[in-house]
Amino acid sequence: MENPVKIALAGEGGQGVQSVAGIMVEAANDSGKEALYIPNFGVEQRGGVSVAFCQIGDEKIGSPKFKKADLVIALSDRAVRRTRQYADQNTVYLYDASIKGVEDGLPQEAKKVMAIPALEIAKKELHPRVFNVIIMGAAIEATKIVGMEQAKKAVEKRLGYKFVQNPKLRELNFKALEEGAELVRAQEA
Amino acid sequence: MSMPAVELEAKTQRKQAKPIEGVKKVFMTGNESVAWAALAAGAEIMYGYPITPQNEIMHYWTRLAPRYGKQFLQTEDEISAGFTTCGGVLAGKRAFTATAGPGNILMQESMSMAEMLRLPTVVIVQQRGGPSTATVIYSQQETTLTCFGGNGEGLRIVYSSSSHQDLFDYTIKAFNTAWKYRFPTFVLGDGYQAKMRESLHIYDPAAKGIKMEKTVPFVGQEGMPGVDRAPAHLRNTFNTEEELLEVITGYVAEYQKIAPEIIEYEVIETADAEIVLVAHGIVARAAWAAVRALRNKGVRAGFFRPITLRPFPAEQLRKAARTAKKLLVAESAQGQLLKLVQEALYGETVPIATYLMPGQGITAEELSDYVMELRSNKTNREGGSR
Amino acid sequence: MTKGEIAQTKEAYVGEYASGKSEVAINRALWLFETGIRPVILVDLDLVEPFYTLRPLKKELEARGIKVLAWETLNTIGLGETGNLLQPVVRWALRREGAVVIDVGYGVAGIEKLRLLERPAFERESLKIYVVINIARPMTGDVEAVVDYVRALGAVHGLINNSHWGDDTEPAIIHEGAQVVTKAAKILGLPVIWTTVDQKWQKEIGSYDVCGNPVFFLKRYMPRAFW
Repeated sequence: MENPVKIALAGEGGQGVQSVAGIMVEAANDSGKEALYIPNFGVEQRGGVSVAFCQIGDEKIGSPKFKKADLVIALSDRAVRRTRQYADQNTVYLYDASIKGVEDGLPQEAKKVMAIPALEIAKKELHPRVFNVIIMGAAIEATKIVGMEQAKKAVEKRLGYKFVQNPKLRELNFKALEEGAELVRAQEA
Repeated sequence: MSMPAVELEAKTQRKQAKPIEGVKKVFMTGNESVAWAALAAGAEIMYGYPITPQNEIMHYWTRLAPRYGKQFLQTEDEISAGFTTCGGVLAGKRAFTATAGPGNILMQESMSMAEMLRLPTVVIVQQRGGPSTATVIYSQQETTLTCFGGNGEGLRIVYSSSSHQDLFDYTIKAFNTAWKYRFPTFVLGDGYQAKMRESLHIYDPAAKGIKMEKTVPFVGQEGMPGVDRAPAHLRNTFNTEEELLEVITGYVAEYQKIAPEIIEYEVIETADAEIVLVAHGIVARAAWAAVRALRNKGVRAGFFRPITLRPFPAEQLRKAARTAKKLLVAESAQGQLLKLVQEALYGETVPIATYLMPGQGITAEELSDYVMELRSNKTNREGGSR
Repeated sequence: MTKGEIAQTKEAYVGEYASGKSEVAINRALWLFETGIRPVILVDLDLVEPFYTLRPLKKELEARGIKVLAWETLNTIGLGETGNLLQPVVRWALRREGAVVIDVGYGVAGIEKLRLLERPAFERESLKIYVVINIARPMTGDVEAVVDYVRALGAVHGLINNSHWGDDTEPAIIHEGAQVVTKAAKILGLPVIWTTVDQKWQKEIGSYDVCGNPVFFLKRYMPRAFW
């Protein structure tokens, strides 16, 4: 992918978009990369579309916003519509397979459009709460901005205090990362 | 907690159909001229908060208004005065307020809302010294504030008055400009004009063939929204940068389109000028007197006075500047008019001398003396400045 | 009045905002002084307006021999219309010996300020209150308006026609003013004390106005008293 890698991650407020964007860019930062992340949201106090613009590269990044993304991940129907503008022919476009009625909202000219059943996996196999961590796994697999080990370190750093109380959560979150990565690998194959 | 607007009770039995019949020559202070003009223009309500030197606008409005069924509300501060004016306008009333100095600063919040919602507010500003409390007397230091003081692009209309006749004429005009074009409109005077006494002709606008622009409520309109008419969707807030860019771009395009209909200026004898004096407001009077005195001495001096500071008569100033050997910008501020002039003249190479006196009045004698000084090269700075 | 009475005259000049009270008061004080009366005391009772009071002229008038009871402008800086303190000496002005001329500032509310002054112990005191009127000012622009205005002031003793258009004055407005004020005075049952006129009109306007009222020619001092 390009340098810096541009990622637009969007969902409904409460789905954990900003949390996961934060962990992801910290992972990049900790691995010695230059990272820039800016959140974007509307005026609603609850809900609304939440967007994270992340850029990871080798040199200091010029501006917080970008016109077109290398990777777009949309987690709700409103998020699909909101992020349509950031996709062009070089964009990898991921959206959650559970979103209905957005066929006309998906970008026509993207490099690749993938529907990944992250929410389904979270609900059925892991836990709804780790939905956003699955997404993070998908994102790092799609962009290779950091390796899986670095990603796990970052999750540990951010959520470690919860793992101390309940060590099973560590396993859950790390599995979520791996499952997310696998969802992308499966589609690319 | 707010006070209801008071419909002032008439103390006298006198009932007159119109505040002014025909045209009448009178002698009064500038503040009174504003109050009479608002009355003549059919203003329906004034929202006010006292501050020197504009208090008499409020005093005279409250004295005159009861005879003609007008309303008044004294608010708890200028923040409120500005917002209640926005409210009055939203209700479809010809509403206005007046302020100065620190009050003008407080009004920037409400005037920014007026810019965003395109509200036809009318505000009269009588400049006093700045910054902060400074003096209660006079300056031209609220030029930048009145033109660009909000957190927006300054899409406002600003008339700079230089006489009581101007204050009267342009207060009436402000209501029409505001309601026709829907940009917050200001009349920029100053403490000297507010308090000095001179004669002027007050009139009923109809007597001069001036038709007052109709006012229409923004909210509470008749009919079912979406059925009988479009919904009144007034937004001063947006979710995304893209939405905002689109809205502002649209406003700017409209502002630029209507600018030629609104721009006013005075230009005299600049075609052969070795020096053109550029001034606004009351300083323009001194500049004009200086130019006449200089011409009598054989100096080819010219005069340019922007009447609208927003939109600024840039094209017209450029035209005057091209035939001049030098410009002299004079103002009772440290370059607030100068900034507007320089922006307008970008690309022109005419040297600009300056006579800047923040907070202090400027006399015709000073200006003509200064011109003579410049001519004899007594000042050794390029362009000449003070 | 007898010479003795004039020497002890107590006069207050009231009127609408910007009607010309201060100018008339100053000129009256100087005229009294020139007839030989001593002392002549000019009193500033403008407690609101920071501009156009007689305060900036205090030193100049005192140099002419008049006693002026007023703050120096320097001592009243920054107050704006939030108001002035009554200067303590002003409070006792009416108890002084001599001719006392009071400039009562700021319009209708101004006349109330006279109540702040201490009155003499005995009823010999007779403070004359004169209303200065300029019909070029719309609030007192015609007979009805003048009558309404003067009635609202309460007990006063005479009217003064000071009608003018500032630098744009012409005899027409002076004459019209004389007629309006005289008519209003008749309705009110008050005398017209003078028509006051800028001395530059001495040739055009004689010693009496068109209604037969005496004319008092004024020298202009107030243009120098802006602040």
